[in-house]
Amino acid sequence: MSNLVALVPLVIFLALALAVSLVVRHRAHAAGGGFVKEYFIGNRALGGFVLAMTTIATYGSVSSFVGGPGQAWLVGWGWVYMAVVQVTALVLLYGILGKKMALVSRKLDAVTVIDVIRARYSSNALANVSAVVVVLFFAATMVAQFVGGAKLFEAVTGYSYLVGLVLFGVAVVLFTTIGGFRGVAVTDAICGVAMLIGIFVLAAGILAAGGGYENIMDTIRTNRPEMLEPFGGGSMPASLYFTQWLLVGIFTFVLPQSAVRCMGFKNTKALHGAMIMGTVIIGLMMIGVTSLGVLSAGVLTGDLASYGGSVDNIIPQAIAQTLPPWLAGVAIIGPIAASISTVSSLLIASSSAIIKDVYLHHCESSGKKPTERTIARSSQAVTLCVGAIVFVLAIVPPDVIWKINMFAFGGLETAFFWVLVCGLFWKRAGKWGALLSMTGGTASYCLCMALGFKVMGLHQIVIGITVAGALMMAGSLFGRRDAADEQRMCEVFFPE
Amino acid sequence: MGDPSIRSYCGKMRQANKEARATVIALACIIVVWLVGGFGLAGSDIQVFHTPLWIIGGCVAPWIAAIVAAVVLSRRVFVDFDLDDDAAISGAACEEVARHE
Repeated sequence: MSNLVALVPLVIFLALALAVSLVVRHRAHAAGGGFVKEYFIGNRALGGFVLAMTTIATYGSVSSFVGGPGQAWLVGWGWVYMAVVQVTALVLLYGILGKKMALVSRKLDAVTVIDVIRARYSSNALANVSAVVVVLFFAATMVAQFVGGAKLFEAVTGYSYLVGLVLFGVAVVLFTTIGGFRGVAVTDAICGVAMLIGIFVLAAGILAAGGGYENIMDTIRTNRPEMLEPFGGGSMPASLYFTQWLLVGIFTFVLPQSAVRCMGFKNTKALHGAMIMGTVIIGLMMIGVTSLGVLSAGVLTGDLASYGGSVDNIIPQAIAQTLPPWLAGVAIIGPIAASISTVSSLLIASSSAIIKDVYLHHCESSGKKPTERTIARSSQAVTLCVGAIVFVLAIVPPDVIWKINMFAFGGLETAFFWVLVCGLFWKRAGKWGALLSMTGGTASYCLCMALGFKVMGLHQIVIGITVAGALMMAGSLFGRRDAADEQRMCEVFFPE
Repeated sequence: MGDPSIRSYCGKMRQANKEARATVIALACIIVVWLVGGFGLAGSDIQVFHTPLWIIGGCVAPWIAAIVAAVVLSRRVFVDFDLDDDAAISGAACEEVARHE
């Protein structure tokens, strides 16, 4: 179906995103203020709606739109029951980290999560390790997002993988470079709306093709009754529910790309509004899109082999089979928006880690003072370069989207959970604990993932978090600490 | 703006701790709704719109619970205050807040 009509909605959408980032840049330029604070944290000016949307769009990735619903097609409603745990994400993020990150980052004039970590633990080594972890995992995730988006594009439009990648890959790298954090936040909001529209359009297509909701449910009951059981006839064991609660529910609030959003909002009203709005929208999105996977079983009634043997083909098939070309073109904006909104946020965060946390810090400690102009130039150059590298990596795609994404997800959670939570809420937490927790926890998580080693059949996140927590305890209780550092830290983090 | 007892940096940080604790309690409530609404209703034969009851209890009820939690937290528990540090109010005010509590 190599059809030009299917491209029009996507091209319009990408042009809109580019135009918006240009406007945002122009306005920010006119408003003045320091470049770093504007480019990497948008002068802490996010309102409630944009804050909610940028958090959701960053969190909702192409795997929420393709891999997840594909699994739901295979497993049934149990997969939706598991996906619903994601509705807690924004309550936890804003409720636990929101105000503390906002207060602390204003006090420290911090622009990145790593700034906060450096100040909390008085450790440059920890800050550097954090920067490496962030850039490494973010890069892997970005590649996976590009690959997922381009594969979907190829499957639905009939144009080649490369055409898709060039189209939205170039757009996202450009608008992130141009717009900075504020541009990313605003385009994220547009992406979020596009994701919702994509879900509604596809829902209409599937429901119409399947003869209505009740009819589809009857078809499923006849063909695959196990899809209506919470354990999915054995494919959804209780242990999976438990670890998914940890992996995509409870621990998500420490992901640095989420936590940084708590440093960018305008006032407490924005935060409170975002918490309510965001919880409504994230539920609509995650429950909606995953349910569509299940419902497509009423339309795509063959076995997995007849759809190319991969659950990643289910949603593209559902789009192509149930919608006319121009509507299919609207529907693919959803997953592609999910892909680019995740990439843009990770890209600006990677760039901030390299420029702010490594380069500018190095300048500061060696007494150099780069001009505002140099900083502006190099920040944009780094954003562009990282984007270009990721883009090139995505041309020859690695295989499993879902796995790579999940690897990075758990890795980041292991690295940052105790470091952030103890950093903000446990006064005794010290630099040795944090260093050991981040390095030891992440290393053990990755090693167990790579070897496929599990305890009691539970996902490796359990091992990672346990090891990281134990190391944080041990290192903090026994590690040496500097009294002067301690006092400076307490004034900001634990005032009395 | 907001509660006058939360003007010092230290008072705001203390309030943030309180809000974080309340959030954890809210999480526990959502988990209970999820468990009861899904696994708890899995044995029921009742169907609504050709859908087994546990699907509605497990996939929709936790979402509603999370929305309710967000509304209750932000309206009843969370307090509006100025995020920028008010340098005029120093450590003295902080002790005052401590006594006030």
